[in-house]
Amino acid sequence: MKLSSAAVHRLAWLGLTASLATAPLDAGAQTAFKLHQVPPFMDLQNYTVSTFANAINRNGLMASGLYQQLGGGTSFRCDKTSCVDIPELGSQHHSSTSAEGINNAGYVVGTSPYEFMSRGYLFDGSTSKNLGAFSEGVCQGCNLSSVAHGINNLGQVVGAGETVDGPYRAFIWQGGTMTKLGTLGGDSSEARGINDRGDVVGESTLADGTTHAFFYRRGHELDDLRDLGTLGGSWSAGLCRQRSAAGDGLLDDGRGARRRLPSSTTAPA
Amino acid sequence: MKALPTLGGSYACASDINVNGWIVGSALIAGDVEWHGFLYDGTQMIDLNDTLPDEVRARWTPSALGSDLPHGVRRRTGVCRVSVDP
Repeated sequence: MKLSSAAVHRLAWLGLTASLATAPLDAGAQTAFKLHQVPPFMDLQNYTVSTFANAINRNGLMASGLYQQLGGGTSFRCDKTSCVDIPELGSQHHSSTSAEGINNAGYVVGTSPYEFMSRGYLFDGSTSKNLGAFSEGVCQGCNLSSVAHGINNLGQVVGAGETVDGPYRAFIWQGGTMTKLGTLGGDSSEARGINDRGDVVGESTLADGTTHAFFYRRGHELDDLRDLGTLGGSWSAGLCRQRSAAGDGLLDDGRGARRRLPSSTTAPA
Repeated sequence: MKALPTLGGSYACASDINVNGWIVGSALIAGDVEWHGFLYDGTQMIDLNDTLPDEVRARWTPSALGSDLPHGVRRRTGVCRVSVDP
């Protein structure tokens, strides 16, 4: 895991859906976003301390945090007037905890240092629960990391977990069980969001090494990910908010663009 | 389409919106010297730094931290969305 920045360029509105754009990390792709070029001053690494709010629920509770230039991030659950510290799971080095998603019950998910690993956590307002890792390898996952990105109103959490072979794979976590999703043919996948139906979006590598957004419909086989394709370019990624999904990709002329991906009610067959 | 207010700086970005239309994100403050998280409740921009506990501010002293980054935080999705990725 290393510090790096991604070019990010816009927010779109899809009804009550907020869609966030992402861009691949290689320099060529970043400069390709001509219409939405991220100025250098926006790189958080250029600032001593930055604060941010990543997500908000219907009651106005926010998943928030601060990032420090020299290392270390702290996360909070905030309302309009105050913030509650989200405790980290425990580490033997400098902490860097993220808070990325919140549901209407106020549960926050993110990633925390844990011993010498990272682990996804679920914060219930007072304590942080370790979401664990895939139960595999010599000690049933005791030495494997995980990251958590999204939570729905049923308490289902999505993210990615380290496998004993190395590459991360998307997961759906519910009630203590971490279920591994497949890939689009490559060796890695990562889930970004889950709606209240249980449909998941994220991104996955293909056999040729490229990355595409995927859509997983609840109830389908775990390796039955739908390739959402690209916008004619080489890359796409998906996010999910409530009943809709949205994704982003590169056009074949290098510009970034967005399109609405199938909603839960119009999911691809 | 309506432009969001800023916190006095040259740039602001949004990362999420709830059913009431409240928007969260991060914005540069005056002089573009820092990014501050914000909440826009439809009428006003609230600087979330004003809501953080004092003891948190005390921990901001950069000299108290090492330079190793075992758990890098990277801006990933949205200018303001900060996530820990594999």
